[in-house]
Amino acid sequence: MNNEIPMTESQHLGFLRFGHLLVIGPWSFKFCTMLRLRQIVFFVLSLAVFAAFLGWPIVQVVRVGFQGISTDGKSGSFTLAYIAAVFQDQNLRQGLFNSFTIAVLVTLVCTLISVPLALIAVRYEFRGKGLVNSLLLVPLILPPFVGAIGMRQILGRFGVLTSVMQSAGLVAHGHPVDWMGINRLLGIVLVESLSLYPILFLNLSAALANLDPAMEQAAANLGANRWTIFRRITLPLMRPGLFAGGTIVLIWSFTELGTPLMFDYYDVTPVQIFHRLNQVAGNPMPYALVVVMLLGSTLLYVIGKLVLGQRHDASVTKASIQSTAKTLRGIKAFTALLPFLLVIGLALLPHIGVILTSVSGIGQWYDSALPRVFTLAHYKTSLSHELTIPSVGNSVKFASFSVAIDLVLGLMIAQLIVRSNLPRVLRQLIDAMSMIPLAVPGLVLAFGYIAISLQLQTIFKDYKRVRDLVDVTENPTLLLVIAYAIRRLPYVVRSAVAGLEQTPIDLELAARNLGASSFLTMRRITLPLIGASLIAGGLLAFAFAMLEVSDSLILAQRQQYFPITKAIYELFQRLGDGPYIASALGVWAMVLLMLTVLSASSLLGKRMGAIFRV
Amino acid sequence: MIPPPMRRYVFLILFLFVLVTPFALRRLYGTAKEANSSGRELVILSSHVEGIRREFAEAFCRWHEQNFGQPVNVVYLNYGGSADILKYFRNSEQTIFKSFGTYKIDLVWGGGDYLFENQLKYFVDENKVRRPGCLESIKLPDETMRFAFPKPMLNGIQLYDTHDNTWFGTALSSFGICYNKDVCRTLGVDEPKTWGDLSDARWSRWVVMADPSSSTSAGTAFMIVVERAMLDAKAQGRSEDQGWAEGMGRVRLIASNAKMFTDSAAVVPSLIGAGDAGAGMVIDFYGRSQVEAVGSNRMGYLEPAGATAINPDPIAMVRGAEHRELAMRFIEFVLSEQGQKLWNTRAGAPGGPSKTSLRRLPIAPSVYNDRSNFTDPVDPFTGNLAFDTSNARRKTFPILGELIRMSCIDLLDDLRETRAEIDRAGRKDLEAKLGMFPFDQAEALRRLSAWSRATPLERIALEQKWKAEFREEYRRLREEAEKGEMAKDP
Repeated sequence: MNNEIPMTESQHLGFLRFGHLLVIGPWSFKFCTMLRLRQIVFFVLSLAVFAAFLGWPIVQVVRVGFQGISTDGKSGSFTLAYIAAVFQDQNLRQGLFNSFTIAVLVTLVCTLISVPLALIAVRYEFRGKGLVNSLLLVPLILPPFVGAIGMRQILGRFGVLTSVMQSAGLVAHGHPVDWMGINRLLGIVLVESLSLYPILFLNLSAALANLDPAMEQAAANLGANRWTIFRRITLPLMRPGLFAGGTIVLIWSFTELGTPLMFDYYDVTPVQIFHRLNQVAGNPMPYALVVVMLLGSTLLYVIGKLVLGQRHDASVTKASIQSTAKTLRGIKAFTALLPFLLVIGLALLPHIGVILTSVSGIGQWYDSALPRVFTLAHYKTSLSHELTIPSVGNSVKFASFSVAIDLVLGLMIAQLIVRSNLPRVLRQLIDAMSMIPLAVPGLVLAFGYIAISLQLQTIFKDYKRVRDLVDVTENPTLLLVIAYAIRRLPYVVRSAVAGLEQTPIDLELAARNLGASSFLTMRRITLPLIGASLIAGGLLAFAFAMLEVSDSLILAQRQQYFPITKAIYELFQRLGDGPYIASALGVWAMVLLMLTVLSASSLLGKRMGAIFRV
Repeated sequence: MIPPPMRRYVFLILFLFVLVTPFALRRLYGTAKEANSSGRELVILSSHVEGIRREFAEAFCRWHEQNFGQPVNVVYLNYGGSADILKYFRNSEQTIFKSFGTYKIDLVWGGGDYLFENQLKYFVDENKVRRPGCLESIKLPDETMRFAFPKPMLNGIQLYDTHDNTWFGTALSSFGICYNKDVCRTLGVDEPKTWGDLSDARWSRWVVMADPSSSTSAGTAFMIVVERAMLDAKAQGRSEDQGWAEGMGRVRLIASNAKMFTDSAAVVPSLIGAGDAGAGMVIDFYGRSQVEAVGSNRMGYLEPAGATAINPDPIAMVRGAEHRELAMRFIEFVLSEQGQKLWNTRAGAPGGPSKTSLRRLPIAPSVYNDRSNFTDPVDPFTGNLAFDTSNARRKTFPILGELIRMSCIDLLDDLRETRAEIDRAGRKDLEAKLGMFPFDQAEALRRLSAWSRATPLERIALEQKWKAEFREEYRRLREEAEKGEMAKDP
């Protein structure tokens, strides 16, 4: 047993300072002051970014929830009555309860799916593993709007399942079944789990890749059985990954709007907010409800942190040797492959629905297992449409810039959370803040950005250049990139934090002791060590930025700046062939995104392999 | 076999191939011109769909170049439905309009006459004080007015703002029932002919409707059902107030058959086309387009005889428009014969849109004289589809959507359960009770007045009180039905 008391990072830094004091005396004071100063600068900078691009837009929108509808720029007096009213309304109470239930169940199901898959993927080599490992991530890149159509085509009353069951004699002809209406809560949990598990899988794979196999080998040598090893060694060591992915899934499913809407299930908070935001008559309730949802998400995050997020000794987790996967053949290889195929098969149902819709004649996929008429005409129409080409370029541009910002910001924030010796409460503050973007409904943030765009134009009314830069109707690039970056920041922060927590600080300290500058240490030691985690977070951020809906619809107003999601939306609204050509463009975007991930993976080679084990 | 060193580039090559596909296809098949960014700019805030926006912009640019020899660049802004348009103007009023005296928008186009007349023309603040909104009064050339609006009214509805000349209808919309014929066969019901047919219990969980508190067009459709019932009551010697309760009761029975209420009226026909829903209330051009898309052997669209209303869809100049002259020309173009013909002429036919049939009804009556290339040979000016609607009967409109939301949408499970319990008990008397709203128009107007006066906080209290009343009503009806059933059992 290791009886040493683990040292925290702050203690490490303290130790470092003490060591310096002994060796080089007065120099250390300067070093410490500089270190501390840099941390404070980073902290203030992070706070400023959150305040300006998250706090300001949110406050613009949700202050109505504390003041009522303001008119003539005059604000009403502050009141908590609207927040209280949320809890007095039976429907809204039920909505909160249902949302909590869904969030907890989805996180559980995702964990049950991801942990075994990640373990199999890390432990064993078998034929087809590379392919299924990549396919596992595809559920993340379902294009918006058309995903619901794909699902309806399969589970709808005249959809594939009814048709197949009728052919098999399991459902009587002339009695279409509303599969999505049987148990909607369960349906939502399943569909959300099958689309969100990749987030957890990615984080767990990164965590397992960082795990030192020597620990498990030592336990096995000491006679522990597999279950004990898993329970006592593997699970605790992969906890940073579980926490990183789990909290994202928890908050995401708590605030998820699309899936409950698809199931016509209105008694959940996000749908209640959405419906009330759309109401013709102005109403402060949705804004009060947003505040309650933000508080609820924070509560969930804190609970997650208490259950999974306890710090542990990072200095012993980073792999000193590469784990070797056991090669499986024959029936064993097939047994290992089976759970992957099952999960992928189920998770890709909506994608298959969208793909088949995109090649079906209009109205020809109805009451049958497959479309009756196949055509490629929708691809011709959508890909040659004047909206399409500029939108692809715009999306790639906006998403790339935003991911670059996320990587810089995310790494800075992760350093503050894990490595700084700032007071704990400040570190936790910045940690919780970096998760808020996940919990804010997209529409609220989008309208918040519109409000600040209008205000900035007024503030800079004498500076035309600045005014044009912040005027979304002129050019939304700046605000759209910032909006994407802020909304996708949690993925990068969580990945970077998980990577840093699993990386022993000793290596960085050694480099600093040998005289490396902090920049050199970051470049040569820290970045290579947490590279896998950063790539994982960066890829998630990129994929989700490419598929971002609310900001894209609201902020991009001029056709020349439409991102691809807005182009899909515009085509989707066309009468008659809209859903079909939107599906075609959606499939094209999906394939492009998939190939982006795959080419990155094959070009980055082993570094990427640490996550995907391709 | 691909040599191993090349293998790592396979995905990259595939990626590049996929990336260039749209460029190649555009070169081969793309017909639309790139937007002309060199010309003068006209900024239009519009909730119209892509096809309408594109076809009108292209036609206007051609027309402008022919008549004035200058290129124009039409820029559309689209923030969503009427609620979002209103939100945008209210936000901008306090910021850029205050600072620069302009909303940076020249025209607002589409969203229904209610938005223009009741929400944009005047802004009403918290203290119910009315002040001028974001629309500007304009004078159109007499020639344009004579052509587009030989009569200012149709079936009791004004086709343009006859008082202040702020907005002008550009097209007409009516409402009808869209239904799936396969579903009718499956359920063993006749194809619906009247609004009341949708209240048949056999449609349970097969009807789809848009939420009237989110979509003004859905609100208008429900108002038609209520107004028709008021007229019928009057014809049968009962009061219109009483007819209002019967109409709302009919809405409630239809709602008890709802599979769902959607946020957007546009989704309704596609759900019916796919067979996920059996029938629903839709705007005419959505319904007709969907029928053509999936075929009339599967789907039908019908406007109940003498029981629909026809509304104008306006355009208006925005106060402080920066490109006034161009904006005026655009309005004149939309209201000219050339512009009006775009609405309903088949795509590709002479005078029609270039790529997409728009399937909407023109507002200028003379355009209907030659309907040879029309996609839909309907004439709202001569047919007996609509009845004479009146503002007097539409007084409850501002609260209708809210009442439907509180009694039917928020309590949908309660309502469905109540209807099912009544049907199980076979109690026609209780069905009739459910089919009669618990209060009449006079009480609805009292509630409207209380609702309009109330602060947001008071509204929450009112909503909770009214919802509790509906909930209690449904509970009592279920209780009565259960008692009846128990009495039947032995």
